[in-house]
Amino acid sequence: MTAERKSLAEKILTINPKIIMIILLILLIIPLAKPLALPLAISKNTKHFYEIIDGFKPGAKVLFNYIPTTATMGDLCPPSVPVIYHLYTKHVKIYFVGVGVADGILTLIDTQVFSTIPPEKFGYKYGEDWCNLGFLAGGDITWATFAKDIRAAVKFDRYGNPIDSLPMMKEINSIKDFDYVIHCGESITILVRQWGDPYKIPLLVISTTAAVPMDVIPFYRTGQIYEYLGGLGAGAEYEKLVNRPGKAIASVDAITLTHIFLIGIIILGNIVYSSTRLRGGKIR
Amino acid sequence: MISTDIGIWVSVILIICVLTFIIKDTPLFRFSEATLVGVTAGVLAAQGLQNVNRLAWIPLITKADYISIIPILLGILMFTRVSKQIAYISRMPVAIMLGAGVGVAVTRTMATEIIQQAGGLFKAMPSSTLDIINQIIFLICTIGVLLFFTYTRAHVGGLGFITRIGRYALMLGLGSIYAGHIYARAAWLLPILQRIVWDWLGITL
Repeated sequence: MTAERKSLAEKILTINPKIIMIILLILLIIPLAKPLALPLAISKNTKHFYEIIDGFKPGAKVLFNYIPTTATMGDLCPPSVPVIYHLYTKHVKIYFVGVGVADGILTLIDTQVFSTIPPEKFGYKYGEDWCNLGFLAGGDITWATFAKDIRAAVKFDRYGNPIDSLPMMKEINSIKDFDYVIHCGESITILVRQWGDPYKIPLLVISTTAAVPMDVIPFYRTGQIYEYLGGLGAGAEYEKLVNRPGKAIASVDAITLTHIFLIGIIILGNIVYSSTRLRGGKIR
Repeated sequence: MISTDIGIWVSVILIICVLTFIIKDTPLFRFSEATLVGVTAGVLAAQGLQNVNRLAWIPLITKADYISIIPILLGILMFTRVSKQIAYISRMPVAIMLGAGVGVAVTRTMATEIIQQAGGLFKAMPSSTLDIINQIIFLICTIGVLLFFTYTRAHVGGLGFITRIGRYALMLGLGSIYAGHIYARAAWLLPILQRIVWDWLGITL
């Protein structure tokens, strides 16, 4: 019995996915080692996000809910760094907290943000200009409690200080006392449901790229989310706007290159599949 | 220059173990998987204890916040699951958690995710011809998708036409979500590759 020879079309359509994965890995690694400096256009949303923060008055009170996970850190931490850097330069009061099911506020904010841009370097004093209220695990109940009465949800900050001992907490009782809320993470629906809509507070969202079409755009379109940054790509744009190149710009080349490859194989696969079917052939 | 930091070496070794899964399900992959599960469980347990301490125990002993006894008690009741005879007691805290959670969520869901979203169809007043066309397409697609999920009449004739538009709109929406996920997967892979290239091999920009 002789082995049946596969046509080129069949070879393409039945290619081992492992080969594609290895090519993807290589395409991701090369630009990390040697950036290609591909052109980067600033999107309308990123520019608007930048303009909003640029308009913050010194002393404005900003609640920063930071809940990336180890799975989403690649998409969420790089854009959060230039945004926090921008907040420092505007001398606003920043209240970091991690309300949600993820614990980024306990670990990732130290390793991904404060290690790069420590607040003290920008003249920020703990308790007066910035504070870390720690991680509050939970779903709707936690979010609703925190919004209604912060002291009912948080008694001590991340470092064990009673929150009443922090001077910047004196005028803060509920979420209404903040001028803006910046949310970095998933759980967009709970955010809008428990914080944005009931208290009519402007929500600025840093979301993963995958969440933009499904979780962010519907709320953005109706004005329930004021503005958003969508993942790593938007982070690179923001780094360009604040003129502080960092991890996002260094990583975006890798993403672009892999996308070109993926778009290429999707188009190739569809052409081969359609032409084979049009010729009456079968795909095994 | 290759890193001399033991932490980076450990993480890179585990990353390489995970990446061996590209070839096949290897013992190295299973080792790293088990390590991740164990470490995650440990971290979560520590965080849980820290939360109980910070949010309930310290307020109870330092501020005589007696209301904290209730969540502590409910938490202790969860451990009754270890004994078959009294395992049913653990359903009480679960029921309270679920009931309160659903109650808080459902009351807001209607306003936020249904009424506001439906109203949003007409909220943004179009300011240019392109916006008007966009709004019309959006409206037709929304109606098409909603009608696509009606099953009381056969999708033929005029109804068939509009449900077909709905189906195409759904496919476009799903395509966009799929593209977003491809992007996200690549972005999720980046931190581990950055750890190898930047932190471990020391190839800096």
